Amino acid sequence: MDRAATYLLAVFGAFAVFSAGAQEERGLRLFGRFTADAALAAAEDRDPSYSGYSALRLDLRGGDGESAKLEGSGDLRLLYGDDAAALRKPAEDAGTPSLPAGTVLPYPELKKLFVSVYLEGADLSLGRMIVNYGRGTVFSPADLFAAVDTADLALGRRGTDAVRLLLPLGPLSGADFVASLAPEARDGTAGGRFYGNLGGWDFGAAAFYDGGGLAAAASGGAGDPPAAAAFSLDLKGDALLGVSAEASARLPWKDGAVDAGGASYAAMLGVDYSLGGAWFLDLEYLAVFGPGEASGVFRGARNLFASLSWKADELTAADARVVLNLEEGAWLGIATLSRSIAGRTMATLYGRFGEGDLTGSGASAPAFYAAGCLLTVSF
Amino acid sequence: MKRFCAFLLAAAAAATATVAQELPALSGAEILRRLDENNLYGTIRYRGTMEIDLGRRVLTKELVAVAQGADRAFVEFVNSEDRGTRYLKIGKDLWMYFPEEQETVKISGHLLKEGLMGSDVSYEDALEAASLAEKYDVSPAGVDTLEGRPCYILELKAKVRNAPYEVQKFWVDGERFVTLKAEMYAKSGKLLKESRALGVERFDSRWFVTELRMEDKLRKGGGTRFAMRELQFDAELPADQFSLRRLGR
Repeated sequence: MDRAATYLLAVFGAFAVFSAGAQEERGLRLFGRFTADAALAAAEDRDPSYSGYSALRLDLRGGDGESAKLEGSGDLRLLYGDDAAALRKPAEDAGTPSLPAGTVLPYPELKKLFVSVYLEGADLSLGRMIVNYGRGTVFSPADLFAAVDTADLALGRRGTDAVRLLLPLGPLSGADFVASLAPEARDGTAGGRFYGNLGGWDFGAAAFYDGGGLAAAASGGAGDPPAAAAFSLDLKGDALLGVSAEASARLPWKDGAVDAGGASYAAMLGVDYSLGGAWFLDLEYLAVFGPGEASGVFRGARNLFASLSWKADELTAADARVVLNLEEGAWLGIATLSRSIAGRTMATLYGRFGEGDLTGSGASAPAFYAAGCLLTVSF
Repeated sequence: MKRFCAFLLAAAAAATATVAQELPALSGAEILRRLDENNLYGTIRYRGTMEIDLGRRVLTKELVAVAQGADRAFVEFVNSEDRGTRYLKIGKDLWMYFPEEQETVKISGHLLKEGLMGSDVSYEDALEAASLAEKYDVSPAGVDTLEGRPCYILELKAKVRNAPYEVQKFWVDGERFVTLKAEMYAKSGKLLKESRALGVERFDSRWFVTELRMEDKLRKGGGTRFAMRELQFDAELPADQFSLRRLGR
């Protein structure tokens, strides 16, 4: 059980007990959702096998938007089948007495736990939070902090341990300074971003020192990019279609100076459109180039994301998404069919398919297929 | 018996016509001005409930909203499925905040015709607010009686290309000057949406619709019922109420 698990169990357990009798005016509210998942998966090099989990997502909210706020979110998962076996394996490999087969293993994950203090001219936040600068659904070269989680059906983003200072400059503009809290300070990421709105277009410009720790974590430890100075621009607006764009430059940092010769660059262009309130299309293209080592989740030279969603009515929706590393011929496809089957309750059928080195990190996956169902109850 | 029923219907129709005809003759602009006196406010704060009738199921959404004039609004949903989802409207632009991902997204223009949180009310309906005179030519189209209330009928024809509807018809209460019924038409003359006031309350000298049903005629289902409670007019708001800073708090 890691540090996040300890936080999750101690903090949320305590608040669960506390908030049971809490009055709303005391400012603590606990809510969340229960999810059950069961899937059958197979791979080129593996026979079909079963995996699944039951998860309790607990969300905590305390305080208010006027003076100070506490926000937390974490999952307590019980893993079954192959996922449980994968969690058990390191202990077995280390010679630790293994748990009996069939044992359900808890797997806690703390997504967010932070406090924000609202001063007259500044907002200060500290803890694990999602610092989300990306304009893209999947490809966000401007986003150093909140990498997309390709293992998540919803393509959600991960939290970062950080301290953040937001200085508003106007209703739609401000300066946002963030420093990640890395175990080793030199691996951390720190800098600032200015954001604003011009002629109805949202934009941002950022400059950061990036120690590489976040990128290494996001890529699952594949590659350890050197420290660099990272600069980015991002844009979101309308030109008949919804348009989003990001560009970033990463210049290695050596002996207190940048090395322009070892730079890597990335550019993303995305468009979205809807038809008749029922069909939604989202397309993104990411190009990564330059002589230096790329960073971020997707490091392939040419990448494409396409998503087509269909909303039959307010209760039923279908979605098909594909992420492609065009250079490697690698791909990930996700298809879902969701239906609200009762108040607060959603049932989802899904399929995940893919093969190859999707992220361009050098780790190629054999072709795999998975199909499953998911039941989610909010409370 | 049939003759008796016919007589009763004729008598009732004559009575309603008499009530409606008692209204003083006003120009379209004057009716719109009187309507605006009720609809325009400095600030407003309320808790709202949206009941979206999908035919076999009714989805209920709870929200807290504040608005300043026609240009600025801030809405936070508080029901369990959407808790913490927020909208910020400034002028013609709209931003949405997703609490789970702590993400603020500018809503693309092509999405503005979609239903707000799955309701029959589009983002565009919510954005249009009180800018009717800027986008429509207004003319009186007679009088009528609606549920016992004498009404002026107003016809609004789009005079700019970006008007959300080609034609709208309003039934305006002739005494309280609130819209009791509205119909929105496409260029082809097809009825797209209809709204009916279900509740009207008085706040000092102001009459205000506190409950209405909006029905999108192109969708299945029985429309969206929207009710406001705990209304406060001209409440004091923080200086940064309508900002991206507050949207993400």
